[in-house]
Amino acid sequence: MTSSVDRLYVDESGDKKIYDRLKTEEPFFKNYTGNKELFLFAMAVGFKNEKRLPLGKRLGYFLEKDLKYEDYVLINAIAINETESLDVLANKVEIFKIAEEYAHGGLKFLSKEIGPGHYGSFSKNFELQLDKII
Amino acid sequence: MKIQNYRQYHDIDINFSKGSQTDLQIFIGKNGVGKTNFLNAINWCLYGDEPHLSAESDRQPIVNKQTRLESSNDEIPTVLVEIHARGKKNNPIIFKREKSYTISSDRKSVHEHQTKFVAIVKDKKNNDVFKEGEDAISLVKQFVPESIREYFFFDGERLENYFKTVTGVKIQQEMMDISQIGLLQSMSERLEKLTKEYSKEAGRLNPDFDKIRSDLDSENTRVIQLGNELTDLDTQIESAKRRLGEIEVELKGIPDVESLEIDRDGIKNQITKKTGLIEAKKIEKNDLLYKHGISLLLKDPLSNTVKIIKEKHDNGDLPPTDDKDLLLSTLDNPICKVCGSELNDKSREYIKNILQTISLSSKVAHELQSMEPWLDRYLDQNTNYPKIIKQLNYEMKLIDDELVSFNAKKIELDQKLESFNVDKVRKLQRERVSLENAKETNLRRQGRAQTDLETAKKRVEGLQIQLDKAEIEDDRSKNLANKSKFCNEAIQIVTKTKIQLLDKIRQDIEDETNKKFFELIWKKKTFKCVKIDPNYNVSLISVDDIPMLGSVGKAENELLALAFMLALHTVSGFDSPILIDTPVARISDEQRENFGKILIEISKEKQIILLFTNDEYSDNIKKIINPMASNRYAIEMARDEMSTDIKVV
Amino acid sequence: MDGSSNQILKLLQKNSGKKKQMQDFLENLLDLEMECPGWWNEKYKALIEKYSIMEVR
Repeated sequence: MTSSVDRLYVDESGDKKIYDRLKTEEPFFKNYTGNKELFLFAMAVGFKNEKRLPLGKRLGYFLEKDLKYEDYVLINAIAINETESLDVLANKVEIFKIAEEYAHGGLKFLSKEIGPGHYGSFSKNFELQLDKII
Repeated sequence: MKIQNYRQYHDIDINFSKGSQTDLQIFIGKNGVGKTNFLNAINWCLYGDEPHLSAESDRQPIVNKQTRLESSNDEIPTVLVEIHARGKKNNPIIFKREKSYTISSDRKSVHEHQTKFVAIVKDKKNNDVFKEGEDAISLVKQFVPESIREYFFFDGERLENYFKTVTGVKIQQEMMDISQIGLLQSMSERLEKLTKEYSKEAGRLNPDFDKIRSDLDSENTRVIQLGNELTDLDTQIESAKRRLGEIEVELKGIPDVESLEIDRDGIKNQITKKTGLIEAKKIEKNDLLYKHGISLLLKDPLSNTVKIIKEKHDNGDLPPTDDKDLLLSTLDNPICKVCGSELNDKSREYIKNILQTISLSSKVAHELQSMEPWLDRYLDQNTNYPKIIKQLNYEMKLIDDELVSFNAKKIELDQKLESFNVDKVRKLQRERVSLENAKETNLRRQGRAQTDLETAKKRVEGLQIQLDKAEIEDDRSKNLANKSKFCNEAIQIVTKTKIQLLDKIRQDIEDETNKKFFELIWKKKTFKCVKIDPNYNVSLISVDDIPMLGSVGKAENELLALAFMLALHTVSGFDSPILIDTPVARISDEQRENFGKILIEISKEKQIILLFTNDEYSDNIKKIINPMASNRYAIEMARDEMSTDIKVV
Repeated sequence: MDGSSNQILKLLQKNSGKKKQMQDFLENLLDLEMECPGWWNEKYKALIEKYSIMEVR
């Protein structure tokens, strides 16, 4: 299946704002001003917290060519998990859709974890979360 | 007077006998006959010069013409002028000047041969005493001093220009001479010289006496000063020592503020460093969390995918042996895409069977195969994470602990410093340092002062010895000092006297000048008085109190000059005669009478010799003088014009 | 002349105050000056010697 997608999208209604807030308000993210990095992180958070939300109006956030293969691996793994089929690997559109929806959900989650009162505590909490995983 | 061979005068003998009332000697002669040379003769006798020589006479040799012509070649004629006078205390004195000359063969010029000047006085036994050289000159000076002879033997013409040519200073000087105040001047000058001589001699005896005494005094003062200085220094040093002791007690038990401060600074630096380190570590951790976080959050899907791949490997699906897509596309083709042979049902069936065994598409298979190494990495990463994060946490903890420890130390130091009142400690510390420095300085000064004192004491000893020695010689110098002092006293008295006399004389002259002037002057109402200031500036004051010397007429001027001169004579101590050549030439007829009267008056006290020209001796003066003159002489040229005679009229 | 020198002498004596020695000394000096002697130096010194000592003692 050929795909004409050349970028990944976020929800226009508020995602970008949140991403910006992440960059500015949370020291944990200060070093990752790249949109891709933030997207992937949000995507992972969304997946972990089972928050997959469809996008409303779509807004291009970063280009596909920014993705490295190691990044593809992550997206693919989610897609496989999600569809429970390896065939999804041939469907880039589907793969990206899944990734976008999880990122969108994850972002919603993250927006609650940052902001006034949360400054500096994100990394600590995140570490605790990771401790639970390992 | 005796004149021989002097200019016009071949052989003259005149007796200036006194009259019953006056001593007024009148000479009348034409111009050119030798009247003025009569005056010159007197000058020549007394002073050896001829100040009133006319141009005509100057061309002629001094030796009388007749004598020149009459003397033979061998003869050396003598020019002689002899004056018999009355000197001090009316004692007789003779002034005699002789000069012999050789005559040139043409009789026109002469050459000085020998000269002789002598003054003859009488001793107590009435014998003649001949004085020559300085003694003779000295006697002339007592008679009519050369410096002021113009006031005794003068040309009437001079009166006209008197105030034009004579300055106040000269008059003052001449006043001193006339009035004999010059004696006082000479006295003080000589005393002055001697005073200096005495001082010099005293100085030579023990030149350093005063110096030794003053050195000794200053050295003694110095000893006292140094003593005081040492006492002060001792006090200061003791006081410093005491205070230092006090400070030490106060500061004892108190840590050194400085070093505490240094420690504190060090700790502050450490804190800053460690804090920086922690921050860096935090960032490192964030990186770690991010990197590992994603793979950890996606642990499940990643593990699942790994599991699936393993299964496929186990199943033989991976790596793909057949290309499913290729086989699928071959079914649609008549020709096998693998081997290129024609496909029949059997072969199609065969391919279908193979296809059934293949579960993965090529694409997927490839994808999975590509993913495999990355998946392994992520899982490794996940496995490693705990260890890594633990290590990082540990490092961070260490730094944190250090930080905690440093902060604790800083707090401790601050508390220490606070509890001991840092400012006060600082003040004490500073005072201590300053006192220590001052003490060192004072100790050094003490050492120096001690040395100086010893030196000064030794010097005092030495000077005392010198002084004792000098005091022995001092008696002689005391004597000299005493003489010097005496002379100085005398000088002061003499100077004071001089000034008083000068002023008195000035005043007397002024009074006398006034008297004489107003006797003479015809315009009595125009003038108020004559004033003579201390500088002997003579001024005529008009009735309106305006000085008017510059605007006074010739005659008045001459009258003033004459009055002034007569005043000088009256006031001065000299009894010598006054000789005036052409006394009234410039004066009008009317004033001549007055002049005559004045001169007669003067001649009652003083010898007056007047040389009139014929024209001068006009009737109105003649009638006044003739009856009162002691003698009247006519100066006439001899018929042969070789000589001039003076004959009694 | 005598009159004048008398005047000088009187004034000198007056200015000497009560010092007889000084008065006599100055009178002698005046006489000396009137004589106009040649060797004034010696004569002066002699007078000074005489009168200054008398003054002191």
